[in-house]
Amino acid sequence: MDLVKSYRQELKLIRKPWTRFCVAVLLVFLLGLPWYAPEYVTHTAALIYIYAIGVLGQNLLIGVTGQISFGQAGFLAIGAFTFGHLVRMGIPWPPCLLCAGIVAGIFGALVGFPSLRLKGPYLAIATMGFGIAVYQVFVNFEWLSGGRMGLIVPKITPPFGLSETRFNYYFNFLFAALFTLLTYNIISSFMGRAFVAIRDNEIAAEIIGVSLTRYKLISFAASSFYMGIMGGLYGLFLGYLEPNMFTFSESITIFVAVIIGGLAAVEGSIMGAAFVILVPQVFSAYKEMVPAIFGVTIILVLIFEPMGLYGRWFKMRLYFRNWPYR
Amino acid sequence: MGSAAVTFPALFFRQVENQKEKEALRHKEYGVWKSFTWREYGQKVRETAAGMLSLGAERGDFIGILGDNRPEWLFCHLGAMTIGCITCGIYPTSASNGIHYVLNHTEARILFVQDEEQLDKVLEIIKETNLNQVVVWNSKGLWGFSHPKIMLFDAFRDEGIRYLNAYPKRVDERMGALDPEDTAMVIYTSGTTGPPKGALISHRNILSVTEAFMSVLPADASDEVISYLPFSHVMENLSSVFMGVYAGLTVNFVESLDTLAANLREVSPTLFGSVPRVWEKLASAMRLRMADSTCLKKALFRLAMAVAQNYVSAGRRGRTSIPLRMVYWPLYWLVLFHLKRQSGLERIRWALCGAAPAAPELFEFFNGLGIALVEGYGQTESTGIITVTRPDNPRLGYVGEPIPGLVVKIAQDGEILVKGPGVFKGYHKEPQLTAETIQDGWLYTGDVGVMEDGFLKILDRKKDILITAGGKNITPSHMENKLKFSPHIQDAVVIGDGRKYLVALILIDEENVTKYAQDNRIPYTTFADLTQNPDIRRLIEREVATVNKTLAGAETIKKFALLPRRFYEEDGDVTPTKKVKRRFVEKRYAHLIEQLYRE
Repeated sequence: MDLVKSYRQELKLIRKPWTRFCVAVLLVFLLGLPWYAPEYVTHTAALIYIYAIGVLGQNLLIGVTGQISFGQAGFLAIGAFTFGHLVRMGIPWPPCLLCAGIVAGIFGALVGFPSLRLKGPYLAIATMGFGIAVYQVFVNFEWLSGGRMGLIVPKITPPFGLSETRFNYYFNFLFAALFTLLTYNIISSFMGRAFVAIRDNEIAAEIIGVSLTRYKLISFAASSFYMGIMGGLYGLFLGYLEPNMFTFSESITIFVAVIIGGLAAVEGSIMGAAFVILVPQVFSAYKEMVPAIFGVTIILVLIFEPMGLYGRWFKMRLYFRNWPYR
Repeated sequence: MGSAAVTFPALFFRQVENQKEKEALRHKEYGVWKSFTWREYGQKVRETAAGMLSLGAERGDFIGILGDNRPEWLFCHLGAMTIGCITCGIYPTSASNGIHYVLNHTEARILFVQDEEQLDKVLEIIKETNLNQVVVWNSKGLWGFSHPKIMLFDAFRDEGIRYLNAYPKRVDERMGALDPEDTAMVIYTSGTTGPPKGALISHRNILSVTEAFMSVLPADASDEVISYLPFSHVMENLSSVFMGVYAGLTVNFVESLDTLAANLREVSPTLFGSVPRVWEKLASAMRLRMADSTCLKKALFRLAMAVAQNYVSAGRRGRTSIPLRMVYWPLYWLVLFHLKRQSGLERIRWALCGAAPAAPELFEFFNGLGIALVEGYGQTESTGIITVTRPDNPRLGYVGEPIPGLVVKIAQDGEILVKGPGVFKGYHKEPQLTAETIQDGWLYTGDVGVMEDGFLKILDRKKDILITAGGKNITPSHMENKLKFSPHIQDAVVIGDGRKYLVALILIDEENVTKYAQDNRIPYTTFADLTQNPDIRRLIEREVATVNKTLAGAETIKKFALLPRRFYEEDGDVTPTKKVKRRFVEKRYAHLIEQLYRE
């Protein structure tokens, strides 16, 4: 029985009691993690949360709206350095974080303008150009990036006597949860549907009343906002920023996370973030082989699961949902 | 709820008082199920009744309703009955000449139509009818349209509200003046043999049959049914109207017949009555989807079904051993329950198959799944039900025992005769036919059957029984039902009257055979081409051979032909309830039949 009696009910994030139970178990597991897992696991998990925010944002742009972008590292750098400089001015972290997102968002909208005329590989090259340009600007203007010494970002003193690792874990968990909910909300709102319409068929979307200009720019701005926030949190997490953290390979990493996780899948974004963090860590013993192993793993995942990790998860659910049918 | 009420509207308004804010009707609008509570349902019926009074509806007037199942149908249906008018449902699939026939036969002055599409058909014939007013439920596509005889339902209801304010007691007065013997509705029988006949059903017929039926298959206010068969047919009235009002249950309207499967999954009704064709379709969908499944799942399904058949037949004999239960129940929860869940049948308390004959294999299949599917037998002239199988006392191959209050006997020639309060009043404007059908209070059903230990077995329609050249009496529906149980056969007509052997005209199930062709890479262009394909012929040959194994020598189908085109109601192949018009089909495909006997 699955009677939908109102739109509110239809839009409910979790509709089935069994799913509610599973999510509750997962939440308890994640909230308790710092208390039973080794410190390095907690540390890695916090990093995954930070990445998840950026990947969620990029998935909005690449997966949901269908606009290919390789400028992620640029927005990440803008967000991170905006945050770093503002915090260093003595401004409390919350407005700094918001500003990091907003500034990155503004740049996102600016980069979005070419997207109105460019498509596919052309758009990818344009955004890649932006990412590289930002990197070069930070490398060449030391007053922006803090020079060779980098930019020291003051950390937050953990409250309630929590260790720094545990505090970082909960702090970033909170943001990752917030942005996950926000993404779900965006996808099921008019805005999200407009993004999907643009991805599926621009002409058809325009005919049904979706303004391509507005929603493409919003998509770029929103995804860059996520990257900006990720940058801010990244700075806060490491306590240190330097331009080399934001090379083109960072853009690739986030792009890979989107694809490996699964296009247009919220859960997939988190899985993708976990993948790009965990695979190099798991194989860290083989040092110089890590990039090769990383690459091969990506190839294997894409060969055997073209829909990404979320696709596998989805098929697993489908296996039981359709039981005993195929 | 006992029916101490003497008329159906009185029972309805009593139920409105009892159920108040409980959901009565549900329909889907833009993807969301909207509902009417019993209080709202009562109010809408009252407003509609007042609207009809404002249009000058007199007691005994026929009110036509032409549309798919939706809440407005019931507002008009019950509204008409409330003020002593007679509801006359017209099949929404009827062409304009069919509508013309019914409207002129009843001399209806008021007609309710669903939408612009139905209105178009009415506009073609409106000048040749007695219609004074046509009310359209859905205004979509009618913007700017005006016609002196046509009004929209909203305006009609406003009239009703104004009338109610001006004469607040008039509706109740009209309802109070009703007599149990008054005609409540006329149902035009689908007419497999000739033009439709209007069977007049009284309030007493409805109340007595419903009460008797509910005593065998009980329902209560917590139950839910799904409404999708046409309201112009007695079966849907029995389920959504008679039983719905009697029990105070919730009626869910499907979006369309095409969405029945999806709507079933959404609603998961607790009671489900349907025609064999729908049950056959559900069974074949399950079997075909399982055939597509993984090896492990297929093996589990086969095992579960085999155990379930044993379990059910042992249960029928009253001998379900503990080891059998220990095997059955894990398999039930592992496989069978989920099959039901996938079809939206997991909440079914009892299910009814009626309105046409069905193969025993169908009941075995669903009983095996744990669905208490029982067979009922009835006809419009008996207000829907004559016999029904009691779930606690099933007997395969029989249509059950007579419902309380009805007496069934078998005439000398084998015809089934029925007497009791459910027997209809007669055919509208057909005194001669009425006198032939009801003699000394006995309804001559036209069906041939036998009574064994109080259980009725239907052999066939009296007119359909074949006598082969060898002098053997054959009931073709027996073989036809077995053939139709195959997922690849939609319909079958067995022929052999005065011939040496039996042959069959077979209509393939387009959906399933198409899938078979795709899976087996069989190229084809059109439906006709598909039926001529040797691989498809071989497929059907195998199905016929399987059925032949279960038949006695003289009953076996020696040859068959695949019909090159689908059955269309408009062309006269089938009735609006999709029953094959045997005589017509035989005539149309006479050349095919001759070819089968010549070869």
